[in-house]
Amino acid sequence: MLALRWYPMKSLLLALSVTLFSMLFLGVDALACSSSCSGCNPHNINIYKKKHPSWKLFYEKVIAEGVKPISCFRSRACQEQLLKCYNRRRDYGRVAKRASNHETRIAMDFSTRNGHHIRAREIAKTTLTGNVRQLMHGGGGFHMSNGASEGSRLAVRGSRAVDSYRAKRKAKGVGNRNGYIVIPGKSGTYLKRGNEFIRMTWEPIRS
Amino acid sequence: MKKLIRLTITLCILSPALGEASPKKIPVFACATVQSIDKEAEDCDGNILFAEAAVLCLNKLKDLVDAQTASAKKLMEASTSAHTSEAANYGISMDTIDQLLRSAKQANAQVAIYMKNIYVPEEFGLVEAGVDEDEILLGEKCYSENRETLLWVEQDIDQIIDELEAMKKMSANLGGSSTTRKTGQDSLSAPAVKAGGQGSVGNPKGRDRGQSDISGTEKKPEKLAPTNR
Repeated sequence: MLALRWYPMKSLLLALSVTLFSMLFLGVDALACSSSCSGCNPHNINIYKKKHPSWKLFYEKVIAEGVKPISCFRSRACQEQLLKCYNRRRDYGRVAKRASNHETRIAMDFSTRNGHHIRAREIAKTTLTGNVRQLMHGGGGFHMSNGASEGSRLAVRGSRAVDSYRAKRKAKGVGNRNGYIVIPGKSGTYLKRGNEFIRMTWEPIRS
Repeated sequence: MKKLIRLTITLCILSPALGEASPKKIPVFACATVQSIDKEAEDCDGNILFAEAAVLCLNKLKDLVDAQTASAKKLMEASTSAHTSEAANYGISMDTIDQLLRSAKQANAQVAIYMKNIYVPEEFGLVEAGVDEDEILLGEKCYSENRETLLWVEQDIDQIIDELEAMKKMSANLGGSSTTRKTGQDSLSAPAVKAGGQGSVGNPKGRDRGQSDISGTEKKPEKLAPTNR
């Protein structure tokens, strides 16, 4: 009789412990890795709607067509929070000191994964007026903004020392493929740094 | 008074010879600090300045090591090819090798600090849309190319450290009667350091490397990094 009463209690306790464990160790981490800048916050679109009404219209049109813009407004705190979360896993670096177009102007990104950027571009042609900056990001994103260039003068400045070093290193590294390695079962190529393997490319080894 | 003058003259004449016996003072080694780079760099495009500082740091280290070890390397090669077991005078003291090793490790630590301080591209926000963060970062040249340069520089400095460790080991094995070995005798009784050995105490590499004493930036505890997400 006692055993019959104990079994449901035991399974309930087990379920409770599993939930508590996942909340403590998994849930909190997942929570910390999401931030207020997810999705499209139309904060800046609304702010500038009198000055740039076409952007408000564009936003409404893309949403109506099921095209999802990303990072329409990204505050500094939001960006810092996001990066802090990812830096917990690996040191990616720092957030730019300079304010981005997402922070101070109207800007939005579209993922190139689902082809949303193609539709967004078509809608933009017939809707947006004024200065529209379109930029394809290397990493799967299409950026649209009413802002000026995001690139800095340092992008074109370059460095002779770095160019010369990289040219020599590439020439020297032809034999050992510049230290790049392939890890069986993993995509891309890696460079060994201490005991860590750092992912460097998506394509097969360069020579 | 005359005796004193004579003694001074004698010392002046003998000083070059005495100088040989004492370890050479090598110039103080320092690379650019993050603070100084940060005066100009403010975003991902500024990462070129970190890459440049790392390359200049490596070049400076190479020049320093070459200047101090050029003659030693020649002698070492000659003695190795002759298969002689005679104690060799490489013209470089253990102290000098130790100083060079310290400088190389300092350079490595500084490049590791550059790595931590590079700027991520603005599109990092795309991770929220489910785009892999590696894909975003590797897709942006301002991040991927400059980080690649920093990693290559680290590897090159590691190689210099390996060579210096090998030189130290060889010098310890062969140079028992070297006239320049007036100091650093303790190293003879210490176990030989395996050149290029992973996890060797005397040769920190990659994330195992120690703190830099240049910028005073505190080293965070080591993290387990996922490599293929």
